[in-house]
Amino acid sequence: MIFSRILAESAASFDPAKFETQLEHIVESLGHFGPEFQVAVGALCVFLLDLFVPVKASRHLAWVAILFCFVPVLSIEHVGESGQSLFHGMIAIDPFANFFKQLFLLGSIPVILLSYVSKQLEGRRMGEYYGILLAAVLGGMLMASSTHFLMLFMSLELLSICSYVLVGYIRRDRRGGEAALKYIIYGSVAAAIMVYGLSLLYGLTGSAQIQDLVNIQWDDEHELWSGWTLMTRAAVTAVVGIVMVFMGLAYKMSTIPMHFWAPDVYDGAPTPVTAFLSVLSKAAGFALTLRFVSYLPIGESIPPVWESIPWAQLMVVIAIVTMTFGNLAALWQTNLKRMLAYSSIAHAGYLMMALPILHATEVSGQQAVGYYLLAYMAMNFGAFGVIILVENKLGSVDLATYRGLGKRAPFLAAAMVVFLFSLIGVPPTAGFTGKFHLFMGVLHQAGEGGSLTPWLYALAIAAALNTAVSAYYYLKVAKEMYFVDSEETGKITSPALGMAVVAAMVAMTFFLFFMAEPIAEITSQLALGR
Amino acid sequence: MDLTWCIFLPLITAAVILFIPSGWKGMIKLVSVIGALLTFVLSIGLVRGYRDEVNPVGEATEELAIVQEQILTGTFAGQPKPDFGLEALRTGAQQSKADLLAEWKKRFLPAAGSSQVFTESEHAAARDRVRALAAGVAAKDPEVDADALADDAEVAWGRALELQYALGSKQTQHMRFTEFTPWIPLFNVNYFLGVDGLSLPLVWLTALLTLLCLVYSWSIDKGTKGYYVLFLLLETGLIGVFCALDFFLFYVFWEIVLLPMYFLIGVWGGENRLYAAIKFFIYTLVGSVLMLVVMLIMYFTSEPHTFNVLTLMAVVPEFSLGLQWWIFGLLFIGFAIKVPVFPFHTWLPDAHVEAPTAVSVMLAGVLLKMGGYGLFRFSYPMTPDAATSKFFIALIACLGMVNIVYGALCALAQKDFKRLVAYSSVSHMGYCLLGLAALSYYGINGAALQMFNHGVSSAMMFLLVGVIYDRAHHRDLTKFGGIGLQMPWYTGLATIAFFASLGLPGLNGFISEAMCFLGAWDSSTAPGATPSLIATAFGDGTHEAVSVGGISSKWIVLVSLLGVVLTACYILWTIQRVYLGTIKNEEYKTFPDVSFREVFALAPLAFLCIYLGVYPSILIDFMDGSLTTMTDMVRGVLGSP
Repeated sequence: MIFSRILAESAASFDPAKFETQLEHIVESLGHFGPEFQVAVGALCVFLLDLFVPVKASRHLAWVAILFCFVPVLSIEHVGESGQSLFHGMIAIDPFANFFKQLFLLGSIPVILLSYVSKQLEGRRMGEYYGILLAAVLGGMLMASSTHFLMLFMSLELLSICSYVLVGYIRRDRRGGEAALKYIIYGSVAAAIMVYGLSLLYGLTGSAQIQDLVNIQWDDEHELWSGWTLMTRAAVTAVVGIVMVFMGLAYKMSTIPMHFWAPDVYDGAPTPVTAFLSVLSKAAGFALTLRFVSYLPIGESIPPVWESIPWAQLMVVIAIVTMTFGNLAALWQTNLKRMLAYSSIAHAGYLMMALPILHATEVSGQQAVGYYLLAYMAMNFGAFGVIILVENKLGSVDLATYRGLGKRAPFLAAAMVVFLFSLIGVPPTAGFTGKFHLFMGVLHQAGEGGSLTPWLYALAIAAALNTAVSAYYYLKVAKEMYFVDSEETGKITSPALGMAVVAAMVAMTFFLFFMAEPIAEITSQLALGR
Repeated sequence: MDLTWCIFLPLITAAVILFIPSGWKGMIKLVSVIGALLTFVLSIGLVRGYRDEVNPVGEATEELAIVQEQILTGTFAGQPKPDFGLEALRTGAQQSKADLLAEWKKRFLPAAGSSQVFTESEHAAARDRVRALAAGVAAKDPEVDADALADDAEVAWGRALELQYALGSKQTQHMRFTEFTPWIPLFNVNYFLGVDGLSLPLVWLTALLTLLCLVYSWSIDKGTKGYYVLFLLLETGLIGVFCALDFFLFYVFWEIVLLPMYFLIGVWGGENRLYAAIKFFIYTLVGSVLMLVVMLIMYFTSEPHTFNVLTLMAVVPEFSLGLQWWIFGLLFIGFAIKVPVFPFHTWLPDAHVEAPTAVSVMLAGVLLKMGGYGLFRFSYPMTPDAATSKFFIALIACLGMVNIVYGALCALAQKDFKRLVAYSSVSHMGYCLLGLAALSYYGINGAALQMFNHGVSSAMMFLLVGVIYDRAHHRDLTKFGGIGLQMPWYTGLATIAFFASLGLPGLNGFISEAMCFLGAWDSSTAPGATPSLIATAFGDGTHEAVSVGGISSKWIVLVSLLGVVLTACYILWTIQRVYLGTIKNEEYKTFPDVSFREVFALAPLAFLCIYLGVYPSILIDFMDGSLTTMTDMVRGVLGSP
C-alpha cells in the first residue's frame, strides 16, 4: 500500500528534463571516476582469480594487485586548482585529492611487495588479502576526495572494515585476533561518535556538503532565556558536532585522545599490515581532516560563542600533547613494532602542526602534510621492510634480536640507520625536509603576528625538543645493531626482492632531501581554497 | 670549485673505500690516507691562494647594475634571462661604483633614503613596480605569458635585492673562492660556499688533523672499513660547516658531523661508550634544533626571504631589539653546547674519555671550534644590538670566567689522564668567550687565535694520552711515574704540548691567552682604540664609574687570571706524576719509545706549537682583516663613545 503510494507520488512529480540532466551529470562523472573504478575492478579481479588459483600459487596474485595499483595512476587526470565536483557533490577531483590518490596507489606497491616476501603470511590463501588491500586503497582514495558527509563516512568505513580484516588476517593467531577485536571496538565507537557529530552539523546547515559548513546560520538573535539565544544554541551545537567529528578523525590519524588502539593493533597485526596502517591509513585520515578543517568557519563573521572557542590553540595543544606522549611512551619500548607504533603517534603529532596553519600563505598546512607524508612513507616503509626481513629470519621483533645486526646483515643495518636518522629528522634525509616544511609553515605564521603567535612559537619549540627526545629511542636501535656484539654471528641473507624494496626506500629517503625542489613544487599546489 | 673539491674529496674517498673488500685493510688505510692527503694539499692551495687571488673588483656591482637596469627597463624579456649565478657575490662592494648604486636607487625608489635597507613598504612598492613593468612588456609581445614574466621579474628583483644586501655587508669583501648554485629555489636555498680569514685556518686545521689522525689510527683493527669511511665523512661535514655561507647548508653540514661522530664513539669507544655516544648526540641535537628554529625565524623576518649568511648579516641587525635578543639567545645555546660553555659542558668529558684517541683529537681539535666559529660567524655579526647589550656581554664574560676557573679546578681534581685533558679544553675555550665578550680588536683576534691554538695543543695532548694508553692500557694518573726515563722522545714532545697548553711564553698558547686578557682588560679611551665592552657592561668603562653590585669588570679578568695559575698547577702536577720520578711499575720498563707512526702525528703539531709561539703574526695577519671588519660591524651599533 504505502510503497505504491510513494511510487505514485514520485511518478507524479517526475520531471524528465531534470532527470536527464542529472543522468548526464552522472554519466559525465563516471568518465572522471576512472582510477577508482579500475581499483575496484582490480579488487574484484583478484577475488575472482583467487577462486581458480591453488593456495600455494595464490601469493603470486600480488603481481596482479600491483598492476592494478599502477595502472590507475596513469589515468589520474590533472585538473586546475579549483577542481571539479562529481556525483552531485559527493566527491571532488582537485590537485589535493589527486596527490593523495597517487600516494595511496604508489604507496601500496611496497606494502604488497613486503606482504609478498613476508614469512608471516606465507602458505595462506593470499588472493583475498590482496583484494581486501585494494579495497582499502579504494577507501583511502575516496576519503581523500569526498566532499559529502555520506561519502566521507562510507569511505572511512570502507577503509576501516578492510583494515579490521587485514589486522586479523592470520587465523588462530591470538595476538592478531585480539588486535583485530580491539581495533573493531575502538573503530565502531569512533565511527558512531563521528556520525552523530555529522548529523548535528547536517541539522545546522541543512546540507551534507563539507563546503557548506561555512554557511551555518548564526544570525538569529531571538533570545530563549537570559543571554541564551538561538545563535548561541546553534554555535554550541556546531562546536559539539565538530568536536565529535574530530574524534572520529583523530581515531584514523591516531592522535590524542583516540590513540589507545594504535600500540596493540600495530603490535598484533601482521607486520606488512602494520606498515600499511601506520602510513597509508594515517595519510587517509589526514587527507580527510585537512579537507574538513579547511572548510571550518574560522575567521568569518562568527558569533561570540564560536569565537571564544580557541580552535587553533586547541589544535596546538593536541599536537604538542600527541607528539610528547608518543615520544615519551616510545622511550620504554623493547619491541620494535610497539616502538614504531608510539613513534607513529608522535609523527601524527608532528603532522598535526599543520592544522593551525591551513590557510598560511608561505607554506600551507596541506603542502607541509603532503611533503611530510611522502617522507614518512619512504622512511617508515623502509623501517618496516627491514623489520619484516629480519623477522623472516629470526622470528622476532624484539630489540634484542637486532644485537650485532651491523655485522650479520650489513646492508639491512645500514639501511635501518638511514631510516632511523630520517625518522629523527636529521639531514641529509627526507625526514628533515618534511620537518623543515612543518617548521617553516608554523614559524612563518607565527611571524605574521596575531593572537596565535606565542602559541605557534611554543609549538615550534616543543616540536624541536621532541625531536631530541625521539633521538633517544631511535638511536637505541642503532646502538643495538652496531655497538653491542651478539653471540650469534651467522650472516642473515634476505630475498633479493625484499632487499630491493628496502634499497628503493633508501634511495627515496635521500632523493626527497637532495632533489626536494620538484617534489616541493608539486606539494606547493595542494592548498585547499576556501 | 676549489672548496667543493675540498669538501667532497673525503666523501669521494669514502665512497671508493666502500667498494674495497673489508679484508684488504692495508689498502683501505692507504686509500683513505691518500684521500686525506689530497684534501690537505688542496687546503694548502686555498691558504696560499687566499692572499694571491686578485679581488675581481667591480664584477659584482656591475652585474648588480645590469640586473637592476634590466628590471628597470624590462629589457630582459627578449634576452636570455640574466644568470643570477651570483658569481658576483665573491667580490666586495666597490666604492667607485657606489654612485651607480645610489643613482639606481634614486630612480627606482625615490622614497628610499640613504639607508641601505629598504623598509617593507618600499620593498612592496618596488615589487609592484617590477610586476607592472613585466606586465607592460607582456602587453607589447602577445607571445609572452604575463604572469610567468611577472613571476620571473619578481624572482629577479628578489635576487637583485639580495645581492645588494649581500654587498652591503662589509664581511663580503673578505670572502674568497665563492661558489653559488641554486638548490631549492622554492625556498631560496642555495649551495653557497666561501671562506674568509676566519674560516680558512679552521679548514686547514681540519684537513691537517684528519690526515694526522688517519695515520695515527693505522693500528685500528676492529671494523677498519667502517672506521675510515666514517672518519672521512666526518671530515666532509667539518670542512662543509666552515665553508657554508648559506644557513640551510650550514645546518645540513652541522648535522652531518653528528652521525659519524655518534658511531665513532659508540663502536670504537671505551667501556662506557654507549652512554657517552647518546649523550653527545642528544646534547648537540637539542642545540641544533633550536638553531633550526632561529634559522627559520630569520628567514621569514628577512625580506626578501633568504638563508644567505651575508645577506642576513646586513638584514638581521635591522630587526627589532626583542627579536634580536631571542635570536642571539637561542643561537647562543646552540653554539654554547658545542663550545662547550659551562652549564652545557657535561657531555664533553664523557665523550672525550670514551672516544678512541683519534676521535678525541677531532672532537677537541675541530668539533669544539664549530661552536666558536658559529658565534663569530652568526651570533655576533647578525645580532650586534643583542651582542653588545650589557646583559649578554656580562653573561658571556661571566661564563667565560666560570669556564676558565671551573674547568681548571675540575682538571685539577681528575685522576683519569684523558678526563684531565678534556677539562682543560673546557678551561681553554673559556678564554675565547672572554675575548669575544670584550669585543675589542685584541679580544677578538685573541679569541680566534685561541681557537686555532687550542685546536693544535689539545689535539696533541690527546694524541699523547693515546700513546701512553696504548702501552699501559690504563689512564690512571696515580699509577704513572718515571715515563721520562723510559721514553725520552715521547716526554720531550709531551713537554712541548703541555707547556703550550700552560701558556708558556714562546709557545703558541701564551700569545692568544695574553691577547684575550689584554682585550678584556683594555679600557683605554684613546681615539681609535676599542675598549673592552666588559667594562661598559659593568658600568665602569664609561666615565660614570658605577659598578654593578660592586663588581668591577677588572675582577672578571683577575679571577680569570687565577685560572692561569690553576692551569699551571694541573699541568705541572701532571708532568710530575707521569713523566718525572722513578718508574713505578716494572712493566713500564718494557715500553718502547714513540714509533714512527706516532711521531708522524705528533711532530707537525709540536712544530706548529713552537712556530706559532715565536711567529704568531703569520696567523694574526691572516685573520686580522676579516676579524677587524667583523668587530667594526658589531661595534658600529654602539656609536662613537
